[in-house]
Amino acid sequence: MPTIFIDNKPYEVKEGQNVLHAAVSHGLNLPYFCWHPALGSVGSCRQCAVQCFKDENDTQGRMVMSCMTPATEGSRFSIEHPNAKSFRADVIEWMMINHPHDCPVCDEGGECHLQDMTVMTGHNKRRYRFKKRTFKNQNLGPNIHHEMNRCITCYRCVRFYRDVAGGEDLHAFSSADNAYFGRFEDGALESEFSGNLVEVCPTGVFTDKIFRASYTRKWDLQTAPSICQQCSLGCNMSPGERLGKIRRIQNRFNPDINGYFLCDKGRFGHQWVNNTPLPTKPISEITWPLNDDKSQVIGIASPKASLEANYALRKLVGAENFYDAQPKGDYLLAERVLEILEQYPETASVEDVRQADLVLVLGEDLTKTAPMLALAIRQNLYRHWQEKADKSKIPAWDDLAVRNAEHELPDVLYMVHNAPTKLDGLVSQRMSLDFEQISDWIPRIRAAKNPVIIAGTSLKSRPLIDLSKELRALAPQAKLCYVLPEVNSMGLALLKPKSLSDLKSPGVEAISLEPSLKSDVMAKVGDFALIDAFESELSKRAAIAFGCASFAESTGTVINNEGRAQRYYSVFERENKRPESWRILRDLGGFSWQNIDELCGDMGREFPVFEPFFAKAHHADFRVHGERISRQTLVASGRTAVNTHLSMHEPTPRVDQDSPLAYSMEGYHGDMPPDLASSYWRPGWNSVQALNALSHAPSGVKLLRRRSV
Amino acid sequence: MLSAEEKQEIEHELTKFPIRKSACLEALMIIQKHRDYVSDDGLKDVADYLGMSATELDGIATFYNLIYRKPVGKKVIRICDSVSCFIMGYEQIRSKIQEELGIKLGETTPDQEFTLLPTPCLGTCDKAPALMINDELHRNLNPNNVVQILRK
Ligand code: SF4
Ligand code: SF4
Ligand code: FES
Ligand code: FES
Repeated sequence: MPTIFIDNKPYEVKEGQNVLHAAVSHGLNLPYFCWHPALGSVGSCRQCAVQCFKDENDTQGRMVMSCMTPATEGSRFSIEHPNAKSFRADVIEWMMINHPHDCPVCDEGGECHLQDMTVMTGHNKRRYRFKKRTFKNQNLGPNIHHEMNRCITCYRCVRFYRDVAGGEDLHAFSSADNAYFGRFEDGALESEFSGNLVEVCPTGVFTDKIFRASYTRKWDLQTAPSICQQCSLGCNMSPGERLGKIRRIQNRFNPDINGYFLCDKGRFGHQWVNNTPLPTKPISEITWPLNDDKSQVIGIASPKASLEANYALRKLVGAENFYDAQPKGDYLLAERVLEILEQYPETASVEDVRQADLVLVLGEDLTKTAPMLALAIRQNLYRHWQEKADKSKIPAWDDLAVRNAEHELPDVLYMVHNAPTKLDGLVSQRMSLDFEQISDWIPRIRAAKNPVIIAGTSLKSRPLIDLSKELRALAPQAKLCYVLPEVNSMGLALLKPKSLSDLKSPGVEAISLEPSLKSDVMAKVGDFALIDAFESELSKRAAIAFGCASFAESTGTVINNEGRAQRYYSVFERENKRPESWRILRDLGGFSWQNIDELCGDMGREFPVFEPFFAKAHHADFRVHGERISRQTLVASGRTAVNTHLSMHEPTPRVDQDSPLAYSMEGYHGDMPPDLASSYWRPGWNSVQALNALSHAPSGVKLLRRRSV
Repeated sequence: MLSAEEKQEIEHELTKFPIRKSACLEALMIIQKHRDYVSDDGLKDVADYLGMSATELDGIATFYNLIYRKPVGKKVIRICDSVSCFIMGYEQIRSKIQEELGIKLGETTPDQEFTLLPTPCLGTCDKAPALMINDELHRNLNPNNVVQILRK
């Protein structure tokens, strides 16, 4: 690791970093705009200027852009040098010339990188006396709000949208003072990753339109670490709540999975949490309408429910009566996938897909079934360009130079599919679904260093799954990656349910965790009890329906497509708190688990495969310096005032039985285990950019092991 | 819809480039030559023909001052506002033109005769102040001769 000197202090930096990256990683206050850890440097904003010196005797130095300067052994810089300081002050002054200064009504206010950088450079007096130029905004669809006057022309938006995500309908228009970022004409942004503009844009040009409709300042949002429930990848995210409603979702950095980005399904697909909750009554107050002997009742598990809920159901009805409601074909496919993974447990993470030198996609339209894998493939191709550019001594972070040096499509993506997909333009070789000439590809697969074979269940094709296994058998260095239907499909498969299609005694009574039962399943079961969070067609037909907490109000474990167990934490408690589904099942079965750790203890003994995760997960009694970790910020407002219409007394925060987090602004706020961190903040850094100075890497635990024969 | 003539000319340009998109500026110039300016529809036609998104092509079209994305008059006046012309009386020349034609910078006369646009240095500083009307260069301007030039 090279050592560089900044203001005469030595800093150890990572090999191959630029000076800006190194400085902000060390927590130094060096302002910047156009650089982003996932986008690299283009040196366009000129905000990151520092003074650079030949050696320790050089007192004069010269000015350089820190983002465009490699941090090489022994190099010397100054952030505090008066020349650099006054240059940076000038730059921010130019940028603010046309800025509307509308922070009080701006959605970005309070978590704005431009605000932070303006304060950091000390620009607090306006000298420009002339008219500001103004723009017309565009309607960019239901998710993203557009406010062009706030733009500082850093070009990050188009660099993400076009260069990283491959979107074609956002661009920079015109030039100089008139530069405009938007679409050719009004209309919804087409990219599946458009929501990342909200976090990538350092100002309030692109903001979250759904959040805007029930807006709350960042510091008033209660957040908790959570896992996206929309597909089997299990991206890490951080939902924010205020006054009983989920307001928005932001990315939670996880280098193995989603990195800095989320797909729009994950970011914007959350308003269902605010639907009418299904009411519930304590077990003691209900008359149980089904057979009192629970062993006569079957349990219908759900791949959308947590491991804990499915386990509690299994415990209640017995392994014999524990069923999966998927159609037989899907069920067998899931079984087959698990069987293969027990033989070849080295699964590929999203990061492995980014790093692979060959990606084989067998019949999955990834942009639809696992969007972040599609983004990972795009990032992969760019990484190949970076590697090639490296040979011409172009640093990996020198984005424009990398892109100018290389235009050829790397020979990486091989696809078996009949239908058009959004990745088609990146495919190097393609074959139809009957994969007759697959043998042509085998030498390429074998020669690859770290290939990934992606298959999945969306086409419901057994031959494709078998093909993935055969290819894996031929290439021992390859990793498998299966795209599954739901967030916890893998977790459920590991609990070994039986297939409901094999049910011998039709008309049997059932308890279901699955909220969407198909009619053929319904025809098989008699009276049933349903445990679900929201009212639905099914809840109206149930003999009894129990309202349970949604994922946003409960803590639970899900296992993603690579067999990685991850925990999501309750973000908030509703005024009429509903129990977690496993607590309802516990009460029905008269089990004694007081909290999630007790349940997981039992589950780990019965299913040793889960044990490594439960051993590592933070138990409810975990504390940092004797304190629970606060879900609220230090400056959350209205704590005594928001409830005065109900009572003059300040309510006592509820105690979370299942996690070490507190529903309060009181608690620990400093450096914490990454799995428990849900928002990023450092003094002077109120935007998501605060992350760049923190070494966060939540990881979960990969569970799959080779089956011993 | 691109006319047969436009297509033919674009095709000719395409032979000079390895990638279709690369001919986009030439293609825009071609339709501007035939239609006087590049309308939204014209832009979409070119984008489709070259296999790029309208957004991407418009990003390029709007970058260049000489691609007109709005209708312009028969004669486009481009008046130099760079430093030599500025010193030599650009401001008086501009006011005179504006007075004569009744339009501001960036506007077109109601009879669609003239459009007035600013331009950076025309490379004829020794004969400043200067302007161009379409392809014709006019130099050593003063408030009198500029009016005569306009009335010609
Ligand atoms: S819209 Fe935002 S990201 Fe794009 S150039 Fe302007 S400030 Fe930068
Ligand atoms: S890729 Fe899947 S898990 Fe990740 S954000 Fe999108 S829907 Fe959620
Ligand atoms: S961050 Fe270095 S020039 Fe923009
Ligand atoms: S400044 Fe006008 S021609 Fe050079």
